[in-house]
Amino acid sequence: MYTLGFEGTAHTLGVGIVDDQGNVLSNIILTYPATEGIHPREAANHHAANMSDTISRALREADTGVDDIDVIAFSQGPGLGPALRTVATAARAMSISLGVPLVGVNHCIAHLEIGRLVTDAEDPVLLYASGGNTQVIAFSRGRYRVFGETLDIGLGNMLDKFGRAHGIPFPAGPAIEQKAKKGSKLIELPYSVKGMDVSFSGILTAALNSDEAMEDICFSLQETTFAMLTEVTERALAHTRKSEVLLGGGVVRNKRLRDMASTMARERGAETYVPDGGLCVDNGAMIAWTGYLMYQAGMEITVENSHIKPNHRTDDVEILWRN
Amino acid sequence: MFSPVEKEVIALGAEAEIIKAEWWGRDTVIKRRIVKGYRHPKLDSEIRKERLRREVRLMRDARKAGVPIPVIYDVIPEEATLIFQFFPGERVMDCIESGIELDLELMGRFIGKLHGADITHGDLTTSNILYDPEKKSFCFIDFSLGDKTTSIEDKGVDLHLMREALIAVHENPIALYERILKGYREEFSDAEETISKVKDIESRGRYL
Repeated sequence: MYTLGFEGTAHTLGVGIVDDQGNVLSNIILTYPATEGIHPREAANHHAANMSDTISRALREADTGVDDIDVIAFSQGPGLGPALRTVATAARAMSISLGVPLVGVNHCIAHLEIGRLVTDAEDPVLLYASGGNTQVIAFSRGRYRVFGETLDIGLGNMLDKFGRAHGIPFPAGPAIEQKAKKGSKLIELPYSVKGMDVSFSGILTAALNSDEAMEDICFSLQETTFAMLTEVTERALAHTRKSEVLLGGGVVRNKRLRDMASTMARERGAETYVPDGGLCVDNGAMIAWTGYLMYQAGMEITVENSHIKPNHRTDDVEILWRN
Repeated sequence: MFSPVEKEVIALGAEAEIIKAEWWGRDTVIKRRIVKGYRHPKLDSEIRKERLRREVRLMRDARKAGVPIPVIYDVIPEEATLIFQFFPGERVMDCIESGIELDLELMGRFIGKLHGADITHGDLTTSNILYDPEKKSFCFIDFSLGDKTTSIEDKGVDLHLMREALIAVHENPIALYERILKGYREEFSDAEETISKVKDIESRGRYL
């Protein structure tokens, strides 16, 4: 039994195919080449223009025909409206023309479920940091609960805004990471952990106004924001008494963030897990796999009820596939 | 003799270790914020010092507002350590569970006083309020997530946390919550607005 999943919450168009054993048969990722950030309409156009090619590639790589697809899943939210609508349209069309069930997947939950599938993590606390999203999520009383999140902008978004002001191309994270390696002086930036939540806008302003060396600003940006996220993750671990940390999202490709999270976990006697490359960033396979789990739990939707949810909250989803 | 004799670790949180100790013949508690290896050493020491300062300030303000807190014996900023009175009681959570009669209205009045003084606790659950059945006295502990704020939202989060904590472990949570609110209303002029804010917060379905 094959599930095909569409990812399209932001600048990435992803189409992935998984089987019912949890094998990822293909995972095609195509990124809209933004240089100064994502324009939602252009991202949507990019997804539309590349849709049929990407589907064909995913089918070819999975060595399967379109008639073998049994379930269609798509990222229903949260994300940019135009991008979400484009992949939702493709998903509905495929579901109707093939006569197979349709499932709408919460993007943040998909990051957690793919991590549970491809790593040894069973019941982790997920630290999910990408451009638009920054959340700490864990399973508790029938839901994936948000134990901490950004109160303003996503961490990746903050790094991109900083990068844009300094002529660093989008996404700015990798270049900031390289510059940070040459920095060593810790500049004071507002460390803003409020209860279980974090906020980044004050740090951005302080970093933009700083006249210190670029390398030191990048270094301090990383040291400060990553420590905030690691602290909130540790709180969630202590609160839920879980002993696994799962990392997901584009920003966790940063080695310093990974090191901080795993140091924290080690000091608490917990384990850290990171899905490999293409399964860690936005991708279609994670949508397909979560869609498969949801389908098994009877969570398919009709086309009439498949409207997108740009502000879809992680804890809105009833998790019928877990006990 | 001059430094406390550490006896046993009572709790090990994400941020601090809580140790029972003896100091000048008194039962005391040492709260020590742990060095975090993942953090830049300079950032780490600043955060630990700042959090200690903030906690002490909030405890002092709470006391001024008439809310019972442990007596602070010593503050050692270099070691991010706080030494305070050991309160001989049980968590309110355990008292309710074992059927001990509690004056929850009085507890609610203390929460009202806290909010009236623009202090939020940040982790206001039945685990962070202690009760001594012999002296019939309460003691509010762990202000490390608290804040000095006029925000009705933040005060609402306090009430919401209390409500959730009651629901999570107790049999008759709404009745218990109502008794707390009765005292709360008597003491805090913005009580109604804050209580209705709790519904908003709930509908967002977070803050565990």
